[in-house]
Amino acid sequence: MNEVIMELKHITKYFPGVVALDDMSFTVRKGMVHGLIGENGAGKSTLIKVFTGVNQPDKGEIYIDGKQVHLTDPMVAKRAGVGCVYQELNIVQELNVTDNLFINMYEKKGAFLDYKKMHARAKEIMESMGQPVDPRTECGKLGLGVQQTIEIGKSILSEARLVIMDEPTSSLSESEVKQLFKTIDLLKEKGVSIIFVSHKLEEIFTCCDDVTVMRDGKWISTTPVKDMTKDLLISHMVGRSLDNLFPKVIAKKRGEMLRAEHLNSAGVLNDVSFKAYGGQILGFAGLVGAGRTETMRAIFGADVLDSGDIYIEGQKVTIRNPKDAIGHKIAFLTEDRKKEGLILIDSVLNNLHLATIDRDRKGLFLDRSKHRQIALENVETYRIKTPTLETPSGTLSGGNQQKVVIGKWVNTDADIFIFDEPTRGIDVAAKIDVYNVMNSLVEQGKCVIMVSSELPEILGMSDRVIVMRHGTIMAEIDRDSEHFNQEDIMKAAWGGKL
Amino acid sequence: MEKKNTSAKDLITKLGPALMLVILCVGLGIATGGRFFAPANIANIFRQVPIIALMAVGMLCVILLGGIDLSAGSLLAIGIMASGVMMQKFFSEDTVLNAIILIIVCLAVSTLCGCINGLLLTKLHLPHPFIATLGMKNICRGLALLICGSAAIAGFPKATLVIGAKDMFTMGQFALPLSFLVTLIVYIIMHIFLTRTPLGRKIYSFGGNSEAARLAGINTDRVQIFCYAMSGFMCGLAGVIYIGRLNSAVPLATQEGDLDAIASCIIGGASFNGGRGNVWGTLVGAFFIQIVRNGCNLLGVSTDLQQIVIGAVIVAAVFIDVLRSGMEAKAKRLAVAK
Repeated sequence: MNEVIMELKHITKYFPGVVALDDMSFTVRKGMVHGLIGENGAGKSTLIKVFTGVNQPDKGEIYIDGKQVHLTDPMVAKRAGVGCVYQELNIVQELNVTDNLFINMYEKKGAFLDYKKMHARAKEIMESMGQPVDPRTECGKLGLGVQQTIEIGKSILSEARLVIMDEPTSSLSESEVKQLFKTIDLLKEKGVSIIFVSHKLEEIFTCCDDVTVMRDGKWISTTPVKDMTKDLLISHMVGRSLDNLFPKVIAKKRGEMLRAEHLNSAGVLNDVSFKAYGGQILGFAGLVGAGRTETMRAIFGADVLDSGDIYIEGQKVTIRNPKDAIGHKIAFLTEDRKKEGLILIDSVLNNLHLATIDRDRKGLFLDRSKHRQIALENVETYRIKTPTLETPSGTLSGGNQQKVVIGKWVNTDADIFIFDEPTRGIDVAAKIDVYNVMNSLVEQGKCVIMVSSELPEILGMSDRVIVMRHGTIMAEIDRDSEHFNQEDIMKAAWGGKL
Repeated sequence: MEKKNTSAKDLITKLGPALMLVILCVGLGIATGGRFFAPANIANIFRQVPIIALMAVGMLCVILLGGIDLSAGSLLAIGIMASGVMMQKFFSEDTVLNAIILIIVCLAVSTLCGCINGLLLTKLHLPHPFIATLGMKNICRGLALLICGSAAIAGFPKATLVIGAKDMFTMGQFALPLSFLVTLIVYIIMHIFLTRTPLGRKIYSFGGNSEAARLAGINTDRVQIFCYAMSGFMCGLAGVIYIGRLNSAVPLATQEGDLDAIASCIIGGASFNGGRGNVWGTLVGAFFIQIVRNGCNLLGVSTDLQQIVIGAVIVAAVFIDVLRSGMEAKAKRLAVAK
């Protein structure tokens, strides 16, 4: 076993109404990748914030190299050698690689910045992580994977001994993820320790040495990955064993609900046509940027098309804005729930009726008792964990936030549901809840379109799959087709012929 | 899940700005040796507050959107001057009908100009309401000066002056002016509007997350235009009271009106980011500013010093609010810890 560099012992942290961390302990060993996994709301983020000095524990001790320390603020933690790469990158798109790396740590020659030295060092750092780029490149022109490496580089530059990566793969493509794993190996060789927070079990098994599971703010287990199995990991996370990750229900296929014909949008969509039926989940697979989200936004009237027609139950319709789309009984769960789905500062109650403000009213006024009654039903049906209906939605965990957005759309009584990455960044138990909502919708004969970048999900839940690439539909595969498998879908997504 | 009970703590949170107002009044009472609480002075404050309070409640709608209306003072000016010029040209006869027409002109012109703010913002896609309203601030003030040849206009029909000038009942030196009652009624209506109607809910929703609101099918352009028009309407109403109080229309009226209105909202707890704020806080904010002015006058503080005091008070009031909410969050945490 490698030496211990940092240790958290019996950490307890309270937040209004909840115990976020409950007697949690965690040991970091030199040069090891330590996976941290748990459902949303399990306390992972709070634990990270204790490591980085953002939150101070109410009870418990922190040791670095055997000596007790108090990480009273982020600068103290940084000086103690803790670096963190957050899920959302803090890269200034307009600045170049060097400027981003050295932000607030500038090398100076007299009163001026020593760019020669900084560029050389930036080049060296990026190369050492397997991402050779010209340090003068503007960051906005670089891919997300490279930008993330710059973010890791900031920690290296401040001589971090521990780098925490919070869901580092959530917005990366598969090749970028592979490159990230290479970077992680290079860091390990240098003796840097890594805490790898992820929802994706496969990644934990690929790149971690140990894995710690948290649940309800408590430590559940720490196990070497080689002794861990997927089933065991899941049962530790949810506290019960889940027999089936994808509770697929095959419903009765109904008539055509939505038909898109020749959707075009210069540089984004190229002659996209497809049909979606009631009682079916139509999956949209493809790489990030394949035009799936753009197709859905166009259908929903969120973006403007150059040309193309949309038919609902055979009738041609004009959709100029989301209001029209909702009028035609379309619901659209966007991929970014925080930016486009929720009003984070507003209550769960108000978010649940955001799309039905005009419908549920008493004369001139809002029908508040009806809103409340519907919201209470929603909370029950979707198992939304919230202290009260008045709780600001932004304080809920990711899975519960997503359920609020889903509730909002189901409340509109739509017939066509477009779910864009419905389970992104939410935990296994919440995912299953989301799948069950989709099941109940198709059982009612409604039409569900699911955009997803996770192939197991596409295969697990879809009745039919459309694969897109560069704004074009590459393939359409039925569930009972021989091509309905991971390899063939990936092949199509990369431009191959089936 | 139970309906949230209003606990004592919540009440204190909500009364935060009001508490500061009380402290201010007591402080001024002591500093002026009781002159502040003289019935005549209190009546005076009730006469002075409506103009800023009405502009502030219109401004609140805009601030709830996450926007700002820098043109409020100018919208009032263009409303009263348009009314004044109409009076000189067509309706100088002292009849009730003329008075009503002139009031409607004032309201309509201000509302229309507010509406233009909203149209500029949504239809021309100007990047920030700062720009549209800064433009209108100058345009409307310029127009107000232009149409009257930069001269004040007096001689309005008597009935026009009633709202701004009449006292409802008097008791010794104390009086409750009609304008204050009108303001209170407007505030009650606005409270109900913002909290109980679909459009009010949409205003908060837009301010909380405009994109989520748009994607939820809310006609966000219409909501914005409405709020800017509402700000204009409230300026027009404040203008009617202004005419009554001064018995004339002055083109350079309420030059700091917009900033006072913004300050009232912010002191009253509204968030510049939108989505947060309420009318009662705003009313307290309006009183706060007016009372600071009043207190300065009583204490014989010169106008230049007054300006410095008001600046400091705005910063201090918001800062105290920041401290208070910080302490409250901590208290909540500790309560859980126990």
